[in-house]
Amino acid sequence: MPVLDVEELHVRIATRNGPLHAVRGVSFSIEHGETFALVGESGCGKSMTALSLLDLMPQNGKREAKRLQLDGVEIGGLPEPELRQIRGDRAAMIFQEPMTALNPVLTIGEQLTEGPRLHHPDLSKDAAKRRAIELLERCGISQPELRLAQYPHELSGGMRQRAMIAMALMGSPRLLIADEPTTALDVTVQAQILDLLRDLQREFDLAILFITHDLTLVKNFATRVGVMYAGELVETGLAHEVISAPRHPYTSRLVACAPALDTPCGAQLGWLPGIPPRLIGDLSGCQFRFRCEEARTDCDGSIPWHVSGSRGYRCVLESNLQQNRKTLSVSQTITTSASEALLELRSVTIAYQSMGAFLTQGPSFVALKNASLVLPRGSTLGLVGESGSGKSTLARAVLGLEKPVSGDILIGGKAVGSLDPASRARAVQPVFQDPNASLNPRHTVLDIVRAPLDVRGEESKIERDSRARAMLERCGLAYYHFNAYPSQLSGGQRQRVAIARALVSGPSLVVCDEPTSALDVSIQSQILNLLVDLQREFNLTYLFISHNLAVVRQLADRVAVMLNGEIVEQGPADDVLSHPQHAYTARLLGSAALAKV
Amino acid sequence: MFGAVILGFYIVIALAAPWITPHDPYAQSLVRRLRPPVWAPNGSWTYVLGTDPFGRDYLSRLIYATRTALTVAAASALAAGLIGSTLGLAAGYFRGRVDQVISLIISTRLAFPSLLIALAVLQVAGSGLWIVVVVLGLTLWDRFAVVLRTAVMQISRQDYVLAARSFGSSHMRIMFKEIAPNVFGHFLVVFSYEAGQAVLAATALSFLGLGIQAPQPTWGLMMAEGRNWLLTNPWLIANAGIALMFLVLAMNLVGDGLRDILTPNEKV
Repeated sequence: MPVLDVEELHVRIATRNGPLHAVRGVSFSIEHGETFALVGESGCGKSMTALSLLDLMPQNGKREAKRLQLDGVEIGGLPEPELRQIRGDRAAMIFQEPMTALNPVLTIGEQLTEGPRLHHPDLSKDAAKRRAIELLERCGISQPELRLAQYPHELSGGMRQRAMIAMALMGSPRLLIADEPTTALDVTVQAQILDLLRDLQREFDLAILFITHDLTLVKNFATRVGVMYAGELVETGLAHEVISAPRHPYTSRLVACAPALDTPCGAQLGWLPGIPPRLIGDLSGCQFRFRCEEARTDCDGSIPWHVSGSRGYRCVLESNLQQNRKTLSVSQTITTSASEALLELRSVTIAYQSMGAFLTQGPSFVALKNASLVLPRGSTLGLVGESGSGKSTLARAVLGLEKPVSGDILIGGKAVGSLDPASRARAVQPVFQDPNASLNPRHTVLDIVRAPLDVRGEESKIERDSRARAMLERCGLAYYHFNAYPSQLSGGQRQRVAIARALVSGPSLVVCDEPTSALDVSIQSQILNLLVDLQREFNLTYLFISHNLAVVRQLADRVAVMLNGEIVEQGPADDVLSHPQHAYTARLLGSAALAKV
Repeated sequence: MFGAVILGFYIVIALAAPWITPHDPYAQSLVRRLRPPVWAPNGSWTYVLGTDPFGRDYLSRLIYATRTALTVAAASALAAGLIGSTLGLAAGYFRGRVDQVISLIISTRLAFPSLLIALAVLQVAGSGLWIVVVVLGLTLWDRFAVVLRTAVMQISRQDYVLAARSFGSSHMRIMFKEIAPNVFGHFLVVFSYEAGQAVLAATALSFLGLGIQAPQPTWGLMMAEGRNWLLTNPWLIANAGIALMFLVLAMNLVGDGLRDILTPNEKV
């Protein structure tokens, strides 16, 4: 008997524009000790499916299901008080961001013991505390007695996520719902958390519903997978089979979009244009047909669900999709001639001065120690390391936004600090991580991209306008976007605007600080492809910061690894990523590959 | 919405004062002193709200006083806004020492008993509408500074400010082109609250006989003049007080409304 059995699950959310069908007829089941992953882009209904299982949708949401059984007991029509008995006890959830999922004003101990004491009023405070200590220890937290009295902000991100997992196990859950539990974590911590989940699954015989957008994780961590698109399951099957030989066009495009660790440098990634549809109004037929290369005239009719063995998919096409698939065009690796160095860092040290009492200086904090780098013109340096390792400080220093305490930063042989603002803008420009924060919400797209030229003030207004327009078009935006505000654009379009703004000054070096980590995998591939194209066209040099080694592998021909403010290893990408010299690099690579079990 | 309608009504009245007042607000007459309003016994439609102790038409004076009140409100809040936003913008944008010094100035200002200071200054500097405006401007800027300082700190951490710095924008350009449009909403909200505060303070000052001087009609003066007849002719104070109350209420409601409109909501 499966732990969770769901048939024909529907979730409707009332909005001002009519009902939004967030989940449409989803059926799946999870056995003991099995991990079922739900994947898909944002807005495809993964999280809503998970939340609806325990009736935790938003206020205006409504759930219907033909069958919704937990451990053989129908929970579909249960009234709220009885559902409360199940939540946190027989089914528990862990969330993406442990900082917001834990209450900052309660101690870890209070939060861990709160649930069990609600569910079992006869459980003594001491017994609950003993169990909390036991579980914290089991989840790999040192000094568990001490942690009970600590507040969430006193723990690191990884520790908070471990505490969240311990909290989920405080009941006696049969089902663990994990909603992107490792997305907010650094890659080494991510691997540890997944290992922990895998161990706990065996020990407690847990069924895990695992929600993620990361296909590499699915392949290595999940037993079975369900691919969601537009609120529907479009393909299910054993995880490794689905990922290595997808049958549905959507799965196939998703897989092609995700760079793998073995993608060669400079290769074009797969292309999945557009975004998932809004699920309001008429939703008949295959919703993917608007983005599908294989779309046919009968795609708007009823779509059959093909089953063969453990696999199933919903498409008008009869299997053998693989044969129609165009092999990905692997274009030539950018050959870096031994040209002159464009960027050079000579033992650069940067320290931040904190403010002390009134008008005095507090202690200083060294964010970058003795960093040295050489980056030839036309090449790409991938800078990897965990958050807090000094990557962003280095980026800001190269942009001339931080003054080094000692050492030199040279671009084209001139010290960045000595350049006047206009020539500095011509030398180096940034592209930031989050396009929501990097575009001024009160300016139109055209104003944003023209601003660097306005500041320079060398050309007439008409010339500036036409250069900004040309750059926007080159970056894939249409004329009807020019007068839009950033909020009216999608995430991918916003990042295109940010790239256009960086390039309109005509810089030779572009500093990309995690430019795709806030984006869905389909959009990420579009942006990465755009960056590769632009590099060829304008002979750009990239300093590319990322925590995603697969992305770095695809773009970079040189790699530098940072740890605690120091560059611990650097060299050609192939060497560093296939024969790491420093223990930390090896650990980073091992975590990314997720130590395949 | 309700607030905006009332405020709009006051503004129309103030602008149209010369055409809608039934009588000259300054014309005195001992013959028609203390006529009661129309709804009281012996009231007449000639003097809808009656006449004051000097025989001047109460309604006409009330309408002209609205003009004074709105002028004082707008001008003082604007003066306070200029001082406060400049300080707040500088503190939030430059941080560090600039912020420490400005924060000290703000704390010092908050420690002052503003109405007492205003009284003292008016006593020394004399009185008149524009002096009142300057004094109120100098005492009401703190909220602008505090609110804008925090808002600017948040905005100047955004990547678009970094991007603007890296393409070579000057501090001035960043403050006015990148940051100011994003904090203008905060300015408007504080402006509408402080305008209400300015009306109240100006009325208090005129009531105490400092500030705007007779015979110019102000609600404070009208209430002060009616004080001796509180028992026999309470409407002398009540009508001016009601006019004052609704104006301040309207300004606060508009402030609340603006805040709701400008705060992004998280509805699905």
